[in-house]
Amino acid sequence: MITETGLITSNRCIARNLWRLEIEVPEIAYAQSQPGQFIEILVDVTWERPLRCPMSIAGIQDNRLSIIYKTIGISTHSLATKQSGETISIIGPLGNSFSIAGAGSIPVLVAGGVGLPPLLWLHQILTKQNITHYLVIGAQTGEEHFVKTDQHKNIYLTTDDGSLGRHGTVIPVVESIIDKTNNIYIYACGPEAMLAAVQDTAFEHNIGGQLSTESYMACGFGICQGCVVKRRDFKQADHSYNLRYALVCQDGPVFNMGELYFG
Amino acid sequence: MADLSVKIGSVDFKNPIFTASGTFGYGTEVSDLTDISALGAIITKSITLHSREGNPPPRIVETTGGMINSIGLANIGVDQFIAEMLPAYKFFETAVIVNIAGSTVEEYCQVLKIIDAVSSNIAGYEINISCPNVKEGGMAFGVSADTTARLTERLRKLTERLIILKLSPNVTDITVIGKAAQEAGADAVSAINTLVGMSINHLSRESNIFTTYGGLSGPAIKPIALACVHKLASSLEIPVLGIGGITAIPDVVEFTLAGATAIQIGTANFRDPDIGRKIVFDLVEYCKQDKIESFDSLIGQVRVFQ
Ligand SMILES: Cc1cc2nc3c(=O)[nH]c(=O)nc-3n(C[C@H](O)[C@H](O)[C@H](O)COP(=O)(O)OP(=O)(O)OC[C@H]3O[C@@H](n4cnc5c(N)ncnc54)[C@H](O)[C@@H]3O)c2cc1C
Ligand SMILES: Cc1cc2nc3c(=O)[nH]c(=O)nc-3n(C[C@H](O)[C@H](O)[C@H](O)COP(=O)(O)O)c2cc1C
Repeated sequence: MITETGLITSNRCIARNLWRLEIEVPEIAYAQSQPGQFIEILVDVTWERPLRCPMSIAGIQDNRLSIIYKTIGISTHSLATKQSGETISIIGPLGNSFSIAGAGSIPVLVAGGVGLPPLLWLHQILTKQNITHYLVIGAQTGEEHFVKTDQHKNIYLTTDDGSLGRHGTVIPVVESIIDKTNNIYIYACGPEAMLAAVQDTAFEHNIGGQLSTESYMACGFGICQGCVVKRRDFKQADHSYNLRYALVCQDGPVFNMGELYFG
Repeated sequence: MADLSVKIGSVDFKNPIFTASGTFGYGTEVSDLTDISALGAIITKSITLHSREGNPPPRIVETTGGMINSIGLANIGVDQFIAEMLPAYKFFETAVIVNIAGSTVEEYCQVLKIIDAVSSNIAGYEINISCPNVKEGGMAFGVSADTTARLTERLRKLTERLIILKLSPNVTDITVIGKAAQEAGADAVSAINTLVGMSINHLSRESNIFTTYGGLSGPAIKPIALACVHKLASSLEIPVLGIGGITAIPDVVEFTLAGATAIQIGTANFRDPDIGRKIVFDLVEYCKQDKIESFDSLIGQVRVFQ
C-alpha cells in the first residue's frame, strides 16, 4: 500500500462512455500488483467531492498502470477531462487478487460492463503463459464493446440489445462452454445481478471459481468499514464481527464462489 | 519551534491535531501510509461491550463536500480490543484515547471498567453519546441533559483518566448538554458528531443508505461545527475539542479561534490518511511565519462584532 503522485501518459475514449487512463506510477507498478487488485484515485483536488474513486487495475506494463473506466457520474466525468502530462494522486495496490487455479482446469473469464478491466489483465497473463482459456464479455449494447470477438482465441461477446455478438446475457454462453468442456474454473467480475447468475450456474454444475465484487467505499484500506457485502454461510452468532459481512477492500474484492450472498 | 502542546484535564498532548473516532480505525491499519507518531492523539473506533457487525449495506454515500455514513458502530468488541490493540499501543509514540459506546448506562460503565482494569498507556476515554446510526443508545443519550449527566457521573467514579463527552449537533441547544457533562465531572467535551442526513438516487428512486438516514460529515458541516464549538467554548470552563470538516491549516486556526483546545480530523483521513501528519508539519510553519510562540494563545481569540 503506497501513496504516489502519478503522471498521466494517456487518457482516451475507447468505446461509448468508456475510457482508458494510463499513469506512470513506478512505485505502485513495481509493487507486484496482481489482477483483481484496485487503486484509489484522487480526482477532485477541491473538496467538493471529498472521496477518492476506487478503480480496478486493468494492466501494468513497466512503470505504467492502466485503468478502464465508465463515465457515470461527477468524478468519472471529471476524470475524463484530465490530459496527458497532468499529475494525479494514487493509493495502491489495494485488496486481494484472483489466484490462478490448479493445473489442469480451464479458466473461463466472465465479464460484465466495467467488470472487464481486471479480467482483461488476467486474460493477458494467461495468454502469455499459453494457458487455454475462455473470455466472455457482456455489455448493454455493441457500442460499449472494445474487444473483438475471436473464436480462435475463445473470446465471445454478448449484448443485452443484440446489436453485437450474441443477444442476451453472458449466462447462455457460459453454459455452452460448460456443456462442451471438462474441468472448468470461473473468474467473474461485473454487476451484482450477473455475479448472482454466474454463482447460480456454477452451483448447478458444481463448478468452482472466484468472483470480484464492488461496493461503495470511503477509503479502500479498511478504516471506514463502509464497503460491506453479505456472506452466504455466516455462522449465526449473537455477537460477531466480520462473520455476517465482509469488507470488499480487505476481505475482497475477490471472493470464492459461494462465499457471498447476493440480493 | 513554537510550542504546540495542549493540556486537557491533567494530560499533556504534544500537539492539538488528533484523528476522530471511526475515521482512523484502531490506529494500526494505516502505518504504511503515514507516521502516526506525528499526531497529538488518535481516537479509536467506538468500542462496545460485544462485537458488532454493523448495519446492512449500503452504508456510505458521497455528497457535495461530504459524505453520509451509517456504519452502525461495527467493531471488534471490548475483549478482542484489549487482547489485540492495547498491547500494540505500548509501542505508539502518540497518545491513544479510547472511544466507548453503549446502549445502556450499565454497558458504557462495563466497557470502561473492563478497559481501565487492564494496565495500558491509554490517555483516556471519549464517550460517544451522539451516534445517529443505531436504534438503541447512541444519540438517545446525547440529546438529553439528564441522561448525559447521569452517565457522566457514573463514569467519573470509575476512572482517574480523561473523560471526554462527544456531543451531538442534533439538539436544540448544545450548551445545555455540554453544561450537564461539565457539572457531572467531564474533563472535556468534543463536538461535533455527524448530523442526521439523507441521500436519494433520483434515477432508481431509492434511498442511498440502508437505514434511510445516516450521519453527514466532511467540509459541508464545518460552519455548523464552528458555531457549536464557539457556543460551547463561550459557556463552559472545560476544554472543547473541535470536529467537523477539517482538512487543512486554515480550518485548524478557525476552530482554535472559535475556542477549540484541540481538533480532530475525520472524513479527510479517508482521502488522505497522511493528512494529520501533514497538518502538524504545516502548523509548525504557520506558527513560524506568524511569529506565534505557543499555539494555544489563539484559543477562543476570534473577534466577533458583538
Ligand atoms: C473495488 C472497486 C473497483 C472498481 N473498478 C472500476 C473499474 O475498473 N472501472 C469503472 O468504471 N468503475 C469501477 N468501480 C466503480 C467506480 O468506483 C464508480 O463508478 C465511481 O466511483 C463513480 O464515481 P462518480 O462520481 O462518477 O459517480 P457518482 O456520481 O458517485 O454516481 C453515479 C452513479 O453510479 C453509482 N455508483 C457510484 N459508485 C458506485 C460503486 N462504487 N459501485 C456501484 N455503483 C456506484 C451511483 O449509485 C450512481 O447511480 C469500482 C468500484 C470498486 C469498489
Ligand atoms: C465513516 C464514519 C464512521 C464514524 N464512526 C464513529 C464512531 O464509531 N464513533 C464516533 O464517536 N464518531 C464516529 N464518526 C464521527 C466522526 O468521529 C466525526 O465526529 C464526524 O465525522 C465529523 O468530523 P468530519 O467532518 O471531520 O468527518 C464517524 C464518522 C464517519 C464518517
